Order: sequence, then structure tokens, then C-alpha cells
Amino acid sequence: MKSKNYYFIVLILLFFSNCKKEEFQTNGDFFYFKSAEATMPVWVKGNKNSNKFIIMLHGGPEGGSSQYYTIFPSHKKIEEQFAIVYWDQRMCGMSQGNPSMADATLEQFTADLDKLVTLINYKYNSPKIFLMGHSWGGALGTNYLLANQNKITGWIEIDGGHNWTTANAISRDSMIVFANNKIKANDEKQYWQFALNWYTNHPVVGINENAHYSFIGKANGYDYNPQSDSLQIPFTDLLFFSPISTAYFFVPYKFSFLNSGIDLQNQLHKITIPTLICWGKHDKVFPVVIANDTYNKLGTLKADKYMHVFDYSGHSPNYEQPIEFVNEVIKFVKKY
Amino acid sequence: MTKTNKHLFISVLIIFHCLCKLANGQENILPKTKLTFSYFGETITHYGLNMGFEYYLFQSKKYQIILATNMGGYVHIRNNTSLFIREQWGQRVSFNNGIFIDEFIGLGYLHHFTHGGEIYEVLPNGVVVETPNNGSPMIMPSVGLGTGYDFSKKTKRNIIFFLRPELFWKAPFNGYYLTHFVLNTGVIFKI
Repeated sequence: MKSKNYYFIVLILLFFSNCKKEEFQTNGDFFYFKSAEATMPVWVKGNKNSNKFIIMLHGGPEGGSSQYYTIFPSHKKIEEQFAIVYWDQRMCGMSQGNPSMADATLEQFTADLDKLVTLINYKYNSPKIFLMGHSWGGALGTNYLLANQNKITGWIEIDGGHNWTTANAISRDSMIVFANNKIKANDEKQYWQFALNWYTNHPVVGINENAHYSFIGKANGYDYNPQSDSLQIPFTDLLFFSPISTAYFFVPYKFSFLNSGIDLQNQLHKITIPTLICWGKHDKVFPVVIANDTYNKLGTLKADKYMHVFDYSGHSPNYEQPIEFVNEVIKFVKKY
Repeated sequence: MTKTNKHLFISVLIIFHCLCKLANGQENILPKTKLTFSYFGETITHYGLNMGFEYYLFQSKKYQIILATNMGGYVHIRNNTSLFIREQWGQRVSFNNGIFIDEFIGLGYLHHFTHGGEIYEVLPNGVVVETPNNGSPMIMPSVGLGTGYDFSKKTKRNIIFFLRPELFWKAPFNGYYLTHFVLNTGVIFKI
């Protein structure tokens, strides 16, 4: 009886010790920084000797986490060349503490980013810092650069939400066209009629309108090819052997500051640093016309601004077309 | 197996061995108090320990009303280390074949520390300072529904093995109650 008990314990312990967990639990530098009651994790991975650090500004903001981006094959390739700083913003991902919703403003997120930039300069002897913002991260990065671009070497915006309010109006129009086409083709007619009715009742789509994003998802406006195997998510490792916690799934709120909208398009002329704009051609959240307008309105010299439209991507070319994305980012960062 | 895991493995073996020794030869009576010792795995794999005692407010051979006090903690690598002490109220229904089911609700105090790295602050003048990891006080409501086997029903060993999935909450955490799933499994024994 006693030996049976021992075997049972040995089996349990072997199960725990043999699972793959090294990357999430030991790789890179891991630390936190505190700002206005939030305690935010920072994970620095990749080639720190390059002296080029790319700060990843995740999407969301609610439901967003930089740690999600660490599993992207494209990011692993970029890490071979440069360091990437994965930061979970306040009240997002694995961020801790007890900040108030009243402090969750675009200004506070921007102030947090400025502190992170100071901290990276302090810990790594003032390397060249690039910002890479995806979706909401595009809004945060743009707002930061309007006042602090002298601290940053280059800006990479991926399907960014710096003019989210206007983008929603454009997105609404395109979704109405999409829904009408579906109804005409008698393809899931009932669902798209419901969507059309919803848009009729919502002439202005707010940033926190979940229904709008559900319709976009149904229209493959996030992932152009949802069946693609370009991103294989290691669910077991993430759930059981990574820093990811239930906080990632149970965030219960919407960020109320987004209700007043974001539109920074008319201030883009103030940004003059080297910029790479990456955009999915089939993005229905922030349609690709915004990329063209952004390119034209940026104050950066033509020789230092680049735009790449990804033909087979929706909202996330960073995982839908990883090879093309890596090539563009590495070429850009190497140049500056 | 890492060095830490080896130490944990050896410690668990020693403790389990001692518990088996203690339980052997105990009389099959109904003691008012028993000790508990268990693995407390947040999301199953984020390892921790829980220990305490159960006090039986009422008991018969088939039913117990239980007041439990326990303390413990767990480590979620690169996320948090939490230590807690809590009171639980529960009841247990036992069957003749030794199997039982039980349920507990509880309320405790939890102290939450970040895990995995230093904590920095950037002062208004731009100076970076490292700050101590003093942790955060939180309350910890919990519920658990378990099963197990009471060896005293069929053998002379006065020891119970239990397996109890639990939910607990931490608050305040980012302004809300953060839900956690736990596997709490171990032994209950008479001293």
C-alpha cells in the first residue's frame, strides 16, 4: 500500500516537471514597474547586444496583453536580431495592483509608456528605442510620439487605431455594404439582416460597441484566413506554465475613456521620425484607406517613411503573413 | 527535474511517510479535530501547499459539519506569490464503502506579492528607483466541492485522502474580484 502511494506521488511530480515551460518561466529579463497604483510586468526578450529595443504596444486595451505577442513566429524571428520589450499596460493582461478606472485615460497610458522608456534607458544604457503598436497600441504610440518623439528612433504602426472614431465610421459603411451583399447572395441572410438592422439603429458606432466587432469577426475582418496555420497557439503551455493568469480571461470592464472617441489624424504632421506603416488589405476594423491617409499626413520626410500593405491579411499581418512582416520590420529597424 | 522540484519531491515523500506512520494503528473513533495537509495548485500547476485543521461541530458516522482553519500559499512563476489564512465552513457526507463528498465555503486574508523580478518606480524628476516588494493585502472568498476516500472505513488507518477543486477570489485586484481555479488535494488525519 505504501509503495502504491509513493508511485502515485512520483507520477504527479514527473508530470509537472516534464512539461515544456522554460521559455515562459526563465527566458529573457523580467521585471515590473509601478505607476499610479498599477504594477505592470515587462519582459525583455531577444538580442539585447544589438542595442536596438522595440517596445511592443499591445492591442485591446481590454483583453490585450503583450505576452500574447511572444508566441508569434514573426516576433521570434525579430528577436534574433533585436530585443523586444513586452509590456502589459495598466488593467490589461498580467498587470497587477489596484488602479482606478478614473485613472485609466489616454493621458495616463501615455505617461506609463514614458516611464517605461525612461526605465529601459536606465537598465540598458540608453539603447535606440523603437515603438511597435498594434491596433489600440497604434493609438497609444501615436499619442506618445506627439509629445515625446525625441526619445524614440523609429515608429512601426500595425493596423493602428489612432483615429478610431473615424475608422469606426468607415468600418460601419463597409460593413453595411458587406451585409447587403450577403443578403443579396442569400448567404446567412437572417444573420446579416440582423446586422443591417443593428447598423440602422446605430448611425454612430462607439469604440466600445461589442456588436460591431462581432459582425467584423463574422466577416473575417480580423483574420482574412481564419483557417491559416500561421499562428499555432500553445494553449497548454499558456494556461498551465506561463505567467498568464485568469486575469486575462476575466477582465470585467470596458475602458470608459474610449467612449469619448480618439482621433489623432489631424496631428500626424507633428510626427517626423522614421515610420513604417504595416496594414492588412482586408482589415475591416481599421480599413486600409486609413493607412494611405496616415502615410500622406505624417510629417516624416518621404525618404524615411514606408508603407507596406499585406495582401492576405486582415487586422494582424504580424501573424497572418509572418515572413513578409519580419522582412519589413528587420529592414526598417536595421536602417535606423 | 530542477533542484527546486527535487527538494519539493523529497519533502512531500517524507511528510507523506510520516502521515502514514501516524495513521497506522489509530482506533476507529470519532475525534473532534483532525489535521489537513494538501497540495494547493492554482490552475493545477502553480504549486503551493495548504495545511490546517478541521473541527467537527457535529458528526455521526455518515455526516459531519466542519469548521476548518487553514493557511497556505502558492507560487505562480512570473506572476505572483500568495500567502493566505482562511476559515471555512463545510459539510461531509460519507458512504459505507469509504467514499465521501464534501463542500466548503470560506473567507480569508491573502497577501499577494509580485513574482519573478524587481519592481521599479520612475520618480517625477526622472530618477529610477527599485522599490521593495511589500505585496498587497486582499480578501479571499472561496468555495470548494470535493470527494475522497476514508481509509478508516475499511482498514485500521485513520487517514482520509481528498480531492477538492475550488474557486477562490482575490480582491481588490484592478478594481474587481479576480477568479482563480485551484486543485486542493491531500490528506486529513488524526494526530
